[in-house]
This record gives sequence, C-alpha cells and structure tokens, in this order.
Amino acid sequence: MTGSIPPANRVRLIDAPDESGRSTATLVASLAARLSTLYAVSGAAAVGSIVAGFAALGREASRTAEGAAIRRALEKSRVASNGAALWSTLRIGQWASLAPPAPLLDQLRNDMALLLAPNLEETLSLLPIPGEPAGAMGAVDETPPEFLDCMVGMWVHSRETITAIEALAEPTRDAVTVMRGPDRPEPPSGSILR
Amino acid sequence: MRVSNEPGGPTGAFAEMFRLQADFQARLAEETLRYLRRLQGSVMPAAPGTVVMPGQELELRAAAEPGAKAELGVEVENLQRVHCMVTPQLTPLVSAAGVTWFPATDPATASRLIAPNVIERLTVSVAIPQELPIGEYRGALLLQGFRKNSLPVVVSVGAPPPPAARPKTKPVRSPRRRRPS
Repeated sequence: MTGSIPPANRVRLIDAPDESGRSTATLVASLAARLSTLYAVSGAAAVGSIVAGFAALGREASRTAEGAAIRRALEKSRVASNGAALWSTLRIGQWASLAPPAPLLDQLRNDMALLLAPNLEETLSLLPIPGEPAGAMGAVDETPPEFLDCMVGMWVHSRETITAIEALAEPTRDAVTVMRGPDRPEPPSGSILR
Repeated sequence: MRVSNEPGGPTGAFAEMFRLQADFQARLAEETLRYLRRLQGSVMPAAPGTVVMPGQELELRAAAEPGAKAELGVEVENLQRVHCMVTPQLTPLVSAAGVTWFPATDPATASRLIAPNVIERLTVSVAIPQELPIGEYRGALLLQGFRKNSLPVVVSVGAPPPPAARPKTKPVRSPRRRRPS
C-alpha cells in the first residue's frame, strides 16, 4: 500500500490489515487447506457449508437492485412456495444452519487469481505451506438460511464463474472464425472413380 | 405416583418442572450446536479477501433525463499482489419523495478482472426509465463480495429540455403590385 492520496473518484483494493493478504503463497495454502479439510469432515458438513455459503451470498446480493429483482420474481411464482416446502420438510434449512457458511465468492476469485499467477510453479515447489485458520473472519452470521437466499446466491455464483472464465480466456481468444485445413494433394480424378 | 402433563391436573407442579427441564435441555442443545458452528467457522481454512478503501468523500454522481442513460464512473486500483475480480452492483435508489427505483444496469459492464497494481476505470451505465419521476435518487454502488464495499451514489434525473423553439422567420409577403396610376 502506498501512502499517496488517491484521486477523489478512485477506490483502492487492499488486503485486510490483520491478515496475511492475498499472495500466490497464501492462495495456494488456502486451496490446499480446503482440499485437505475434506478428508477430515463429513460430506454433510462440507455440502452444508456450501449451501450455507450460497445463502449468505444470496442474502448480500438481495441488497442490490438486480438481486432484489430476481428475488421478487421468484417470490411471485410457485418456485418460492415449492422451494420453501422442500426446504422445511426435508430440513435443508436446519441442516445448513448447523454449518458455517463457506466464503464461496472469495474462494472462486482466489482460485481464478491463482490461474493467472506468474510465480505459481515456484510457489508450488514450496509446498506444504501452512494454511491459516479463518479465526475471527469465520464468525458465523446467525441469520437462518432461507431457500430464496440460496437460489439468489447460486445465481450470483454462477454468473461470477461464467464472467471470470470468460475474462481468463479473453486476452488469448482467437477472433478467427474460419480455419483452413492442411494442404492436401489433389484427389485422383477419372471416369472409373465416378 | 401419577404424573400428568395437564396444566391444571393434580401434579401440575411436576408437569411444570418437566416442562422447564425440557426447555432447558432444548436450549442447551441449541446453544451447543451454535457454539460448535462458531468453532467450526473459526478453524475452517481462511480465504483471503479484499477490502475496499474509497477516496476521501467519494460520492459517485451522474445526471440524465428520463429515457436517456446515466453513466457512473469510478477508478479502481488493485493494490493486492494478485488479480482481483470486481463486480459492481447498484442497490435500489430512493428519492426524497419516497420513490424507489430498481435501476437496470448494462450487463456489458458487469465484472472486470484487474491485474495487480493496475488502475481501471469502471463505468456503470444505467438506463433511466421514461416514467421515472424527476428528482435526486440516492443509493450505493456495491463492489460485490468485498469487505466495506459500499460507495454512495447520487443520480439526478432532470426534466428534458423543452422542444427546440422554431427560429422566427419573417413571413414572406407577396410582392405588392403597384396600382396603376
């Protein structure tokens, strides 16, 4: 972080002051820790954490105009009542409320950033890099996850995934739409082959 | 001894004690699960995130007429060591008269991947509905997924200018004929 004063209409994206920040090493450590945690937790806990993460993401996205519009549209249809019925009868909400929400958007962005890191190979040679626990950042929001939160969260996550993959491909995307095959010798011609 | 759960029964005191005991156990189980959830949340692997640090007194402003497009521009500087995906999203905007407007933004400016130590200008284009009452609409631009991610926004929707007045031209008079003297 530099000490200069930014122009008035500029925002800066910085690391959280009390964390080690986003670097190739910390992102590799985070991904490795996530993968190794899968061996230590049950499938129900892992998937419950993802469902809770979608719900937390959807709750935040519902504050935006687009998220609110999607949510209102779903609320008006049968989707909301059927979804809520499944959510409560199969106790999906209760199950998701037992797991801490996974920070899905951060994880997605961090994994995408690793794919563009210029020093990834050197960093991978340093493994194992000790992972950092979430600590206070893993403080759980007590709001019970709802069906529509989860739906909106899945929408946001899917859209972000598509956009991120397109952005990764964009610099090297080929504008050529017609490709010629390799030169081949002229096929034999004659009346017998007709 | 017969124990009844009926509130007014002969063993009402026992029933009350059992009810309190059941409530206590249920509450204890609930608090234990909540504690375990918090504990699990604190030991789960960290996902390093991004904090938004806005410029001093940053307020994004735009002005347009109904039926036109307003453009909100903001520069984003990535001071992190790796690429950062930025997704700006507008919240509903509210006028002083109590009108709530859910702005539709241009999907072409939905997200941007910003390299480390690079400054990019994000422009969020907002179509102003024809039926939107004139006024000043306030809300926020959220950089989705970041911490402290809210930037205040003001969109002024003004009256369209009156139709251009026709240039005044002198009426062409037909040439007078001179009366024969």
